[in-house]
Amino acid sequence: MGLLDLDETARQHFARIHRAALVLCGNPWDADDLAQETFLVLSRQGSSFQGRSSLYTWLYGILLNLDRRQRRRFGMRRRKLRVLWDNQPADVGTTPGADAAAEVSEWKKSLWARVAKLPDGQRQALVLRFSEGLRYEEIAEVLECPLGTVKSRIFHGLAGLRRILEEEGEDARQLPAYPGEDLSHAV
Amino acid sequence: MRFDPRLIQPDDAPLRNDGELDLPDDLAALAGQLADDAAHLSACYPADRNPQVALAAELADSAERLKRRAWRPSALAVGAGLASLAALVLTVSLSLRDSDPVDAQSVASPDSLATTVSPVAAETMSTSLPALAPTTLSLGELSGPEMEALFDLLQRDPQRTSSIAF
Repeated sequence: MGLLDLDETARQHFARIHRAALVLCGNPWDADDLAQETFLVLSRQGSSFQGRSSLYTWLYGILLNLDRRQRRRFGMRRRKLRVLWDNQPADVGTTPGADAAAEVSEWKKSLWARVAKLPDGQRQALVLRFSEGLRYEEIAEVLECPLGTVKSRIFHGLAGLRRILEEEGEDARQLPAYPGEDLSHAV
Repeated sequence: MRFDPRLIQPDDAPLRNDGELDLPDDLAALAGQLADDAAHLSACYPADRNPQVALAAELADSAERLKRRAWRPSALAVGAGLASLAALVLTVSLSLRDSDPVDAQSVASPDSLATTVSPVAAETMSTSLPALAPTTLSLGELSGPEMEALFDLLQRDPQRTSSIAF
């Protein structure tokens, strides 16, 4: 992919990829990195895009793969640190560990922080549907699964989210809402 | 444990006639809240309007090229080091084999072993055997432990004439 093409593609799609990354990571710094990395992958593997799907669905696929890889890496590091942490005397651990994720408070207060506890498939389906407003067919393309599976993941993802909220002892209706934004595409 | 069917979730989600998900009110409210939260987050932390993605890609490519270029000389140095080490080991082992007359005798050809010797000749041979052929050994080719071993051998066998020339 040429230099101009890449810049033009980024101008068209960077904002939506960044938004999805922000919802997935929980902080704008990691979201910036993840979005940039998505376009770096595009610059290297752009020739393999065959145009059978939309470019942005292809970009979402790259983003989700990168996010999954990052989470796996983060999880492994956290497990290693946990072993070290458990071997330390209890009174030493007064400050948060190096594995503590840096999420912004807006994200922590939002429902997306609870969505992060769901299994990968459900989490990704919810992001693509309710943050990005993709159609079920497009989500099926990104996640490379049948349409019925997408609907099932969305339904069970929402049900799982409700269960998490019930366990936390709060009701979805009590969470802060942000009215005035046009979100008719999402529901 | 008694089988609890509630543990298994049905695979199919409830659908309306038009194929859309038939969400109960509470789940629909959650879906709406998710969309609101995403929009709010993206309004709080908007993306860069002019991301320099092409420049970043160029930088990443050049960094990778530099890394590859930096690896080449070090790989060559490691290869050269290994080759010289192998040559050194070979030289030392060859010189040790040449300097050990007992070993050289023990590796006699099968033909020489097969020759028959008369008892008288064997007696005279046995008396003249201790006179070993003088060997010259370059100390410069020996490593520390090898030199130590050589001095041990010389101490153990003082009758053997030895001289060190510089």
